[in-house]
Amino acid sequence: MITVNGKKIDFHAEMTLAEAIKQAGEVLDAMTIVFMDNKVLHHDQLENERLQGCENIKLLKIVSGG
Amino acid sequence: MWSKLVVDMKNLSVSKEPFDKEFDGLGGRSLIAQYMIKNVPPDCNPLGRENQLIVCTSIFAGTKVTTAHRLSIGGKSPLTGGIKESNSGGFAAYQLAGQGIKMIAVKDMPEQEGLWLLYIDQNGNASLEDASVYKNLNNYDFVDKIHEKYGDKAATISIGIAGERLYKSASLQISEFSSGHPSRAAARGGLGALMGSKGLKAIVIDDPHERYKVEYADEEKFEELCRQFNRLVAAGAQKDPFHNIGTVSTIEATANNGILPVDNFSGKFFSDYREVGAAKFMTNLAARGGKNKISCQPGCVVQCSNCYNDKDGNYLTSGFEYETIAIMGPNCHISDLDVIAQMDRICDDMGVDTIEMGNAIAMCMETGKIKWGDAEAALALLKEAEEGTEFGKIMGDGCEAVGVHLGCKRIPVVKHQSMPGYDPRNTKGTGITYATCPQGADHTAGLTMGRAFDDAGRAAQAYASNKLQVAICFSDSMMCLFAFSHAATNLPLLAGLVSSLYGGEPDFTKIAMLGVKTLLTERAYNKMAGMTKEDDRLPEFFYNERSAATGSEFDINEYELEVLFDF
Repeated sequence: MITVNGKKIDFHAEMTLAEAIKQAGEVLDAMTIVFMDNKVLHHDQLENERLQGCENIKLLKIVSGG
Repeated sequence: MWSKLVVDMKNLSVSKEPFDKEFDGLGGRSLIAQYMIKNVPPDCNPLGRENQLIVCTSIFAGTKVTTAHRLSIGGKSPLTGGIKESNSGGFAAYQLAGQGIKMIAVKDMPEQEGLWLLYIDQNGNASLEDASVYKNLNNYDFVDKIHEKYGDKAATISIGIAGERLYKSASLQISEFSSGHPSRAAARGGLGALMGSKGLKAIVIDDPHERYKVEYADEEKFEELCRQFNRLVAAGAQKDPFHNIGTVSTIEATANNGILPVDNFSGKFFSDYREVGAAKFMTNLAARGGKNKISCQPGCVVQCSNCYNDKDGNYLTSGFEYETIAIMGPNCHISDLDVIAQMDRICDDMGVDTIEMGNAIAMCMETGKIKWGDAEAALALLKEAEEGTEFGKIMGDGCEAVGVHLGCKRIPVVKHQSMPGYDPRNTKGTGITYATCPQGADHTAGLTMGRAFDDAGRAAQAYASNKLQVAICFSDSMMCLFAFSHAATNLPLLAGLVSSLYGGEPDFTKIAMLGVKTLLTERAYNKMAGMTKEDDRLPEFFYNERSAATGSEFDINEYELEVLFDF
């Protein structure tokens, strides 16, 4: 089962990370970090990242600096 | 009732007194502001007798509010010449609170040569001990020796060789809760030099036999609100990159929009940012046995700290943060995360501000003393500062000292303090904060990056900076900024916590007014210290040079900066 920010997503073969994020209704901006199973992916990698069907995807927004 | 320690370095005596009633309800930055305006002459010599080193805890110290145990260090800054509050995480504030100590004021200077250590024992007795055996010892070795002597639960606030030499970039290093490493820093403003000028090597707070019990106006109410508050922050932290990764994640956020400083704030993009960003960091952590999601203080649910190992899997540094990576990395055209980690370790050990050191290195690169991106040469410069060579001493005084010495025309400082990792041309509200904040160029004082205001007009930028600077004044009086950023969605809850602790009706306007009062007090102090509106400006090149990445310049005019605090 794939989740995006806790929301369950319908998986299909050949699904990409970009598609999963789109299906979840999420929009990315420069302040959003894509974090999947303890890995950080850059925005230009999302179209090529094929999913296996069990990923936990978090879209993490920067709210302050430090 | 809370206590305060008054440490008289002339008579080498320590007295424990009741905490001043007039400062009841204050903590952290608000306490430092009100204490200093009454007790530290604004025209005093920052390294002289009349300056005081103030160490204090927050409004919520001693309670279970998450991140309540930030430590605030204050005094007249040897670097900016104005009021300085530098705050840090770590274990010390928690142990001070456990000892029932709200504040320590270190006054005057020793009459004779020597070095001392303030020790607070397990029964709460405080005394000055001879620390000459620790002279010239850097922070890591010093803390190891203290833990051998007093045990792992003794918290430390210490200076390294930089503080002993009175370098204007000298920090105070605070031991971290989980690891004990001296990796949390009250870095900005050279307060390590202030501590060194008092002949004080360290403050060691032992684990109390019996922890101080806070007096509540309504304890039951407080406990319930505290649970709600901590749940709110914990829920926010789950979606926070700082919790999941660490502050290094800011690299990915700033790299593509011209905010990440590159080559001494040239405004260029840094094509190798992925070598120093979150993805690389997490890969290295996984491969080498490092760790993130570490709490620097007990009870913190944000857990933004980390332990970073070298390529052989050996511990290298902790508290490896965005500011260090940005300023010592891309701003010096260095793209090797391991080298930057090594630089972080050297700075923590020696006890210097990594932002000042990184910008000082950039001065050397800009003027051709060393080449852009030459990591080995950068390391060698830090070593010079550690050894105290002729140029090393100039390095120790930070970016402006090096820039002026080398004839650099582009010195990124405000009130003599160098800029952190956000190019103000592409986050103009932050630039307004840099210019007008009483603390100097300070990103924590009001960072507008990423908010809607970034793309908005000048008035919106100024509005954002104004409101954030006020908010941060009361945040810095209460807790860690990273927790506050999640709590800001429920300000009545914060007001409820304050009233159930100190009494009275929950009233957020009182908290907001605390922020306004703190800010205006700091500005008044600085004015009496001789600062003028000329000190509330960015360096000229930000107004004249467009960012190469975005074409933007800092186009906020003098009048807009002047009226910012006309409340």
